[in-house]
Formats: sequence, C-alpha cells, structure tokens
Amino acid sequence: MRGSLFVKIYLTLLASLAVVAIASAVFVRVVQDRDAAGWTTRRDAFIAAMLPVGGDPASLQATVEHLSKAFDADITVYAPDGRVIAVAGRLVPAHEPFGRRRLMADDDRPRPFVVRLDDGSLVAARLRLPFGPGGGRFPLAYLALIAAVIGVAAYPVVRHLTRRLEAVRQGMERWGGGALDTRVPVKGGDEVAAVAASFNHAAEQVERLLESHRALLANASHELRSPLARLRMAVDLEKSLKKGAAREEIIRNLAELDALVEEILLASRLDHIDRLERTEPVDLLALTAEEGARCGVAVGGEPAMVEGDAKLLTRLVRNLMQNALRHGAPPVEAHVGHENGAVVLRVRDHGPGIPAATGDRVFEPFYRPEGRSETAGGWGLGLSLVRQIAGHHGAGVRHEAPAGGGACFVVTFPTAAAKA
Amino acid sequence: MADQVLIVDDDRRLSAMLARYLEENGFEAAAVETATAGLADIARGGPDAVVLDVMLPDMDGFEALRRIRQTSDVPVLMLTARGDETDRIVGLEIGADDYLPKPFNPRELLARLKAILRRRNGPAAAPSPRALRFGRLEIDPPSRSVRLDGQERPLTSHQFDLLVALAENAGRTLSREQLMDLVKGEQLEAFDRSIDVHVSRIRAAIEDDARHPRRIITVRGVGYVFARFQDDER
Repeated sequence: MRGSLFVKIYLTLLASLAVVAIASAVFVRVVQDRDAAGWTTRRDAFIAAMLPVGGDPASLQATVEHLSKAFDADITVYAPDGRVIAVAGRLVPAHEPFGRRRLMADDDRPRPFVVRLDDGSLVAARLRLPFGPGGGRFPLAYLALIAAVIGVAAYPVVRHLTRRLEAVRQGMERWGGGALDTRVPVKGGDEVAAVAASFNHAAEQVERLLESHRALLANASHELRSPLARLRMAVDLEKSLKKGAAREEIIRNLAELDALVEEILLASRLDHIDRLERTEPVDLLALTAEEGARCGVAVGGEPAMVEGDAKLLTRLVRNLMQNALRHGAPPVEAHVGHENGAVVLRVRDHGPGIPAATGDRVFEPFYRPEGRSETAGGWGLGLSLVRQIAGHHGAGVRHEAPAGGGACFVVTFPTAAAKA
Repeated sequence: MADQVLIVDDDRRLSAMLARYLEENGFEAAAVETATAGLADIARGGPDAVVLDVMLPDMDGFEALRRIRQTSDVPVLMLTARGDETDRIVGLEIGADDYLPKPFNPRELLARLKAILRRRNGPAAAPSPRALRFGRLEIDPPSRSVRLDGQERPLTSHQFDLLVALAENAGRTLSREQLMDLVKGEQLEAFDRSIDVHVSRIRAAIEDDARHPRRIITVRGVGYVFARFQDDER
C-alpha cells in the first residue's frame, strides 16, 4: 500500500473541490433563475407598454422596427387570430412554451420569447445578442478551471509530503533490519521532520544501549580473563602445588571458568549478528569426525556438505558431544546423513534420557531440571548455543527419545543450507 | 647465550610471573607495558622473540604488530582473547608467528616460544611461503619435509605425498579411492590396498598419540579426514 496516503490526501482535495464546484454551480443557477424571472416580467410589461394595442398597423410596424434596431432583435407581432401584423428582422415563430423559461439557451444564444399582449395579440422576439441581467455565463467552466489549477498545484505538494514520509518509513525498516547506524534525513520544521527527528533520537539511544551492552560484555570477559590468566600462571609457578589432585582441580576449574566466559561472549555475539559473516561449504561428516576424535565419540555416516561457518559448526558439534558425555552416559555416538533432502546430524547417548515434559526448555540458557542439586550443575550455555548456532544456519534442533533409552539430539539442515 | 624474550602486556602482574617463569626455563625476559615502549625496544634490536598482548593501553596489538613488521622480522607470539576467531586470523595474516589464547598454559607458551625460535634460527627451517601450517604441524612441499614443533619428522616419499593429499583437503572426508586418485602418478602400485598401512605409519610420525589420532582421523566405512583445527585452535 505504498503511496496510499498520497492517494488519500490528493483524492480528498479533489473531492472537496468537486463539492465546492457543484454547490457553487447550483447556487448560481438558482440566483440566476430568480433574477431571470424578475427580468422577464419587467420585459413583458415594457413590451406591452411600447406596442400600442389595437393601433394602426403602420405605427405598429414603425415601433417594432425601432425596437428591433434598438435591441438588435428579430421581432414578429401576431394578431390574436394568428395573422402576422408586423415584422422586423427575420420571422420569429410564436411558440408559447419558451415564454417564461430562460433568457439564454444552453448554447449561449438568446432564445426566442413570446409575450401575450392585453388584446390577445402575440409578440415573438429573438434577441441576437444577450440582453439583460444574468450575464454570469458558465460559472461551471470557471470552477472547473480553478479546480484544475489547484489540482495541478497541489500534486507536487502532496507528493513531496508523502515522499518524505516514505523516506522515514524506509529508514525505519532498514534500521529494524539490523542496520543500527541508519538515520533518516530531517528537513524543514514540520511534523514529518519532527517524526524523523524523534526516530533518529530513539535509534541513537537504542544503538548506544546495544553498543554499551556489547562493550560491557567484551570488557567484562577481558577483565575476568586477566585474573584467570594470572591464576593459571601462578599455579604453574607455585612449587608447593606441583602435581597432585588439588592442582588438577584448580586447573580444571580455571578451564571451566574460562569456557563459561567464552560461551557468554559467544552467545552475546550471536545475539547481535543477524547474518553469518563468512560461510563456506563444510563437510559436516569430516567436522563431526574431527570433534569425535577430540571428545572420544564414535562417528559414522556419509559425507554431507553444509553451507556455514566451520568454527561455529565445530562448536555446535562439540557442545552436543560434551552435553551427551556430561549429562548422558556412554557410549555416545554421532551420525551424519541425508534424510528427505536435508542433512541431519544425530548425537545420541545411552543415559537416563530427557523427560518428555522438559520439552524445549533444555535449550534455555542455564537450564536446570527441578530438584537437581547445585553441585550437580545445570546445563550451562552449551545447548542454548547449539540452538543459536543452528538458527544462524537455518537449521532446526530437537531432541528425541530413541528406542533403547538415552537421549538423541537431532540437527536438521534444510536443503537451502545443505549442499548435495 | 640465552634468548631474550620481550613481553608486551599491560597486565604487570601477569608479565612479572611470566618473566619469572621464562627465566626459570632458561630465557632472559624483560617486560614493558605499552606498545610504544615495546616498539622502541625492538628498534634497538633487543629481543630474540616477542610475546605481544592483543589489548594494549596505547595501541591495539595488531597495529603494534604491523609496525614491528615494518622494520623487523623478530618472531612474535600473540596473546589473544579466546573465542575471538577473527583476531587470530588477522594476527596470522599480518605476520604473527603463532598465537595463544589467554588464559594459557605456561608450558604450552614455553613450547610454542621454543618452536618459533627454532623455526627462525634453524638453518634448514627457513619459513616457506608454500608450507601448510596446522597448529604445531608444518608441512613444506617444496623441501618435502614435515615438522612438528619445528622438529623434522621422517616420512617416505609415498607417505609424504599421501600426507600432502590429506592436508590439502583438510576438513573433507576422503575415501581410499579418492586418496589413491590424488596421489596416483609414479607409484601407483605402491599404494595398492595399503593406504591404511601408510596412514598408520604417518600417524606414528606426526601424532602425539598414534592410538588416539587427532590429525588424521578414521571415519568408519568412509575413509579419512585430515583435521582442520588442531592443537585446540578451534
């Protein structure tokens, strides 16, 4: 419905012009008719007074000729019995019906009119030129002209107004699409400019907010890492900690903290991008086999190409495997294959499985099932990142309960992302 | 004479510990807190190697690296933030010899530092632009040599061809037939049904633990994959 506002405003303008034009025309017509009616009465009285009733034909003829000359009209006088008794100019037929209608015919030429005198004789006359009041010819033509002028003059004004609104709308759409640095031009001081300025202000605020959020996360993770790096360093420097369970525990906890910091940073980065920066054809089976070798997970299947970011996909596979190892039970198996034209990755464990009631909540950040103790830990960000990464590849992720127990996570890359 | 290592990092407490650790392990170490001070040191021809943090107060580490490279080819090991992949790619493209995400295992830093110094100092180890690098592994087709941590690993000519074929297709599953097509040429019969044997010999040469291979991975029923991301590069 682009430009519908323009059409509305413009049509409203034209419609009001039309209403004014019609109203004026009706008004003018009514007034003119009233004037015309008054004039005809006086005209008839004048003619009756000028023409001697029952007088001699010669003086009648002379008077008629005078009148004809004076008013530039054709005049014919009929006796009551229908005989022509005097003529000036061309013969005018005596047709009563015209008598008291309008002075002007619609073609702007005077109509013949007929006046009945006291003795019953008829005077038929036709003015060659318009005569008398009611000279307002064709008010409709004037109105049409005015309407046309206003219509043409209003077009660019209305068009300009709606174009500016359109520019603001397009800017908002680009901004909403993720181009947060988009601003719309602010021209003039009217309402459209005010809307544009308000939008720019709001966009500025939101952009700054998001930017500071991002910077906060980046800085926080850097700040968290500095002490982690020092701690890691100190563990190796401290002679009394050389080898032993306590040292390994410290190192493992440091690694876990570091991984958590990284996951938070990655999650926030994925939150802020709407499109992957670099994608390439990735051999999902090879990538899964690589991670399988790292995590100690058996991998099988057939080679399958997926368009995506190899590092993020590696992350997805690793998180699924680590999740299976941590929350399921061995053996953990991964399988890559084609199903109905889609590339499907399955990671299956043989643990207790996921209760059906849990549903998709297992993909929520830091999900922890009810009744689970603090030390047992939650799911962290692992599966939530899996869902985020899958989403960025147009893929869906779900879990099912396979026959024989355990849990099976299934990632389906649709044909668009999967390349045969 | 001990190699001198310059640490450029604004985390003074970490630098102090790292310097102590390096000195305990046979290096001479000095630490500065700003890129400007580091650049001045390098301009004086001081260090044999540089450990450069990516976040510095006066300049970002990549800019510092770019300026170092304008005048010097001193080996540089960059300390990056883990999880920021673009940083690492940029770092390598503009001439870092290696990189290590923070927080790092000090022993790993030591090993990598030794490796890049060996690469730079070793007479036979002039860095080849055509070399394939995968973390600690370096495959150099022109000289037909393979190095792990800068140390030469022995391979026969067939095995080297097979390794190059795998490495050039890193991240792709290759069937035994595909592998034979890739290395076929002079020694066709040498590979006759013996790919698996050759792979296990290559593994013995380049894997840290040949029973749990991380570089050449078997995909059951399909073939082999040469790993794209090794040594926790991710």
